[in-house]
Amino acid sequence: MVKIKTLKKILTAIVLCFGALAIVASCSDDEKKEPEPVIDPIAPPAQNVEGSYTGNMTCTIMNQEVSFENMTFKFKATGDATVDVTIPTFSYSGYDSPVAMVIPEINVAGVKVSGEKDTYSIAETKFEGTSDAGKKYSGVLKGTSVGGQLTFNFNLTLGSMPMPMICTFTGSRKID
Amino acid sequence: MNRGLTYIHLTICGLLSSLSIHAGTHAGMTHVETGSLLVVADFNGDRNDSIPEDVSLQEVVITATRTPKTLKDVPVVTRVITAEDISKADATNIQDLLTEELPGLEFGYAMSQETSLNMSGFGGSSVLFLVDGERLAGETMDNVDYNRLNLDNVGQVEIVKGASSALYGANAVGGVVNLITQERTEPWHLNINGRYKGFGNEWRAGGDLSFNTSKWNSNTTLQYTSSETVRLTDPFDIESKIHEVFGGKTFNVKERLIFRASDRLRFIARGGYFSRKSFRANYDDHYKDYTGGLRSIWEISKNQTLELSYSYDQYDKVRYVAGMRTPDHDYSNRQNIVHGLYTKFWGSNGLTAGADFMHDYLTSYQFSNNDSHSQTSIDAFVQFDYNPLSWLNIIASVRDDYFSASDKNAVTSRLATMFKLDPLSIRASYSGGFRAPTLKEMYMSFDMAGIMMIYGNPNLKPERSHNFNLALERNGMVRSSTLEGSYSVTMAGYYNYYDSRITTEDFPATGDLEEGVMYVNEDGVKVMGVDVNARYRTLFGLGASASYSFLHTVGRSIDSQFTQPRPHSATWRLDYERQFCKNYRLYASISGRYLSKPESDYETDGAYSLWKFTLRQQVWKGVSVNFIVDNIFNYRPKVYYWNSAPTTGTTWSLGLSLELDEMF
Repeated sequence: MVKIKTLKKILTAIVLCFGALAIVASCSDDEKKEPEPVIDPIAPPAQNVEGSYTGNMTCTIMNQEVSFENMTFKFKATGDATVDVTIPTFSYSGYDSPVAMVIPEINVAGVKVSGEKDTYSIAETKFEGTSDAGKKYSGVLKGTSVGGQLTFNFNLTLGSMPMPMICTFTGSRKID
Repeated sequence: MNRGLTYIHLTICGLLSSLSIHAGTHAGMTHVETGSLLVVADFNGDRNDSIPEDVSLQEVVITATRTPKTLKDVPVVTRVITAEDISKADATNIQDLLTEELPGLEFGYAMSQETSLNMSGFGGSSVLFLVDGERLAGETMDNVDYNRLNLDNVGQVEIVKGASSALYGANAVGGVVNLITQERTEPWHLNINGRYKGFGNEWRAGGDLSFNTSKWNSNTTLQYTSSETVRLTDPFDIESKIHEVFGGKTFNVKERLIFRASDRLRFIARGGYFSRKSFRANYDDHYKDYTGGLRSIWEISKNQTLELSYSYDQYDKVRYVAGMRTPDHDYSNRQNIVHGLYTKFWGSNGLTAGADFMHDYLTSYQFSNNDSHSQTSIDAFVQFDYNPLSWLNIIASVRDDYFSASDKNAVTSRLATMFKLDPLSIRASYSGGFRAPTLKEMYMSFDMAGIMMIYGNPNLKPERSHNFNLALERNGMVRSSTLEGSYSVTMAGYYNYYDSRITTEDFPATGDLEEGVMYVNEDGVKVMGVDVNARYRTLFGLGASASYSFLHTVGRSIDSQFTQPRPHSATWRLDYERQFCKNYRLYASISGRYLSKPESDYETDGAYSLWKFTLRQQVWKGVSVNFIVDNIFNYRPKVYYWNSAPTTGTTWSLGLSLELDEMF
């Protein structure tokens, strides 16, 4: 009998310990992490791509490699298989030029996405437009999203740039 | 001699080159307008029935000495590309033609995909392009607009490698390319031609209309081209410098009117309009050129000629964004030129003296506040052509040029000799070259797309060069075998030394000027090389030719990210041509070119070769069909550098040419 009571106490202690750990772990998650994005296997592709992606970007501009940190790209579902893409503004001061080149925020509508489970492709899409400052731009974009990790490429020519800048962004998804 | 449809077949051997010439004509003669004299190229009969002329070399050239000389007698390296060669190549402009015909010559791209020439280590600013002896206004990234130089009604193209400043002044440092217009003698002539090319869905339509009477001769040419942008590589390819070849449209119309006032006096009036639209990612660049001129040629006596001419050329550039003209890329270059040229011959000797006046005006977006600058240049030159012995020819010339903008002058000279030691010909020459700093190089102040500043330098000195040439040539016949025919072998070596070559170097911030690059003079640039050419042509129509060029350069200014010297290059051709019946003639060739990897401090292209198959058939009276497969081994660069072959693999073109006057 004593042995049984002792065993119960031990089991209870173990359960309490695990429970406490779970509470601590839970509290810790609440303080440090955003809610995990949910990949809904039966949801349309656009819904599983939608969100904000924050990460770093590397660009090749006039044969120079330039890095940009903490960039946020946004994807908004506009249909089952289409998203609007927002490339954030950034600036670049190349070579010895006294004037920094400002790349405006660029919105590309109607980009097709496809895929299933946790792997999605953002179709290669041409885009063009005019910035608020009146500069024409044009380019091509494409990307892949695997388990909420986005690899996004775009080729952009702004104004009379003699050759396009080619950028690769990698970032993690969070739901807005 | 067959006068129904007869072809010249001459063996042409310049110092640096040799090629077979086929100047197809009808009964009658083909006249070539050389600018100052009317030159007649006769023909020798159907080569299928007779032995080709043994080193006849009667083709007349004018560029090397500014006087007419047969190619075998000219003591300066000259390469001739005939109208028939142009026709077989089905080339649209001079760029297409030279790329195919000359080893050691390469067209690449620069910056905003402007064309960039490299001819044996010389850039576009060092090679003087002329049309009937006249300069061209306008440049972009140091190169004239080669699209202007369409080949309708071009009788021949003459290429003189090496410095020729003692005759042509500034820019003739690395060579002279002269396009010479035909002057037809038939009562009328009408050619209509078109071509479709798979690369870029390129269309070309053109025509050439001539009338001829005892007093008047009129020639009108028209050409229209259009092409679409071609993607060369993946848009996310970060190694390639060029991802697309941009499309565009061109329109070119030219008129030349000749009035023969008497047997000894004639006047030549000409006018032209050129328009080009170049489609870019976010804008279109529009280029326009207006040209006109009047020339008189007076044969004072049998041995004396005086030529006076006036020429105007205006080249404009503007930019359009979304269909609206923007004021930030306006450019206009206007040149007014007056020439005088006097020639006198006595016996086999000749004297040539000339003077030129040029007013050069430039307004450019690359100047501060779209400012404008102008300068006047004046020159005088004299040349003595001395033939003391039947086997010896000596030509000596000297010239002085003055430029007002820099208030500097340049004296250049040339001494060229030719020894005819049958069966060998030896040519040796020294020639001086110079290039005055251009208005752009002196006054530029330009922020290039926010990337870097480029500054001109008003204190620039003229660029000077010293060119030495030695060439051996041997021609002959093989008569005792089934491969009876003619051959020629030439070998030429050259050495160029530069003083004060104009280039750019990094510039630190000083005073009001930001950091950037500035034009400066640089000494110690050397260019040297060897060219070897060989050809053989049999009586039954089979021909083979090969050319090899070795190039060595010293000095960084020749090596840029756009233009880089390739040590080895070669061209070759195996062809067959025959008239099978009255209305059917066949020409087929396999040709190719090889370019070795450039010697460069930059990341650059590798070695490559391109092969081409050409099939030209004259299927009826005046009807010719050209079918060309280019890049037949489907070569594609792994990385597209500025000087890589702009190809996406095998492509083809189909052309049709109608000589309407031959149909009636």
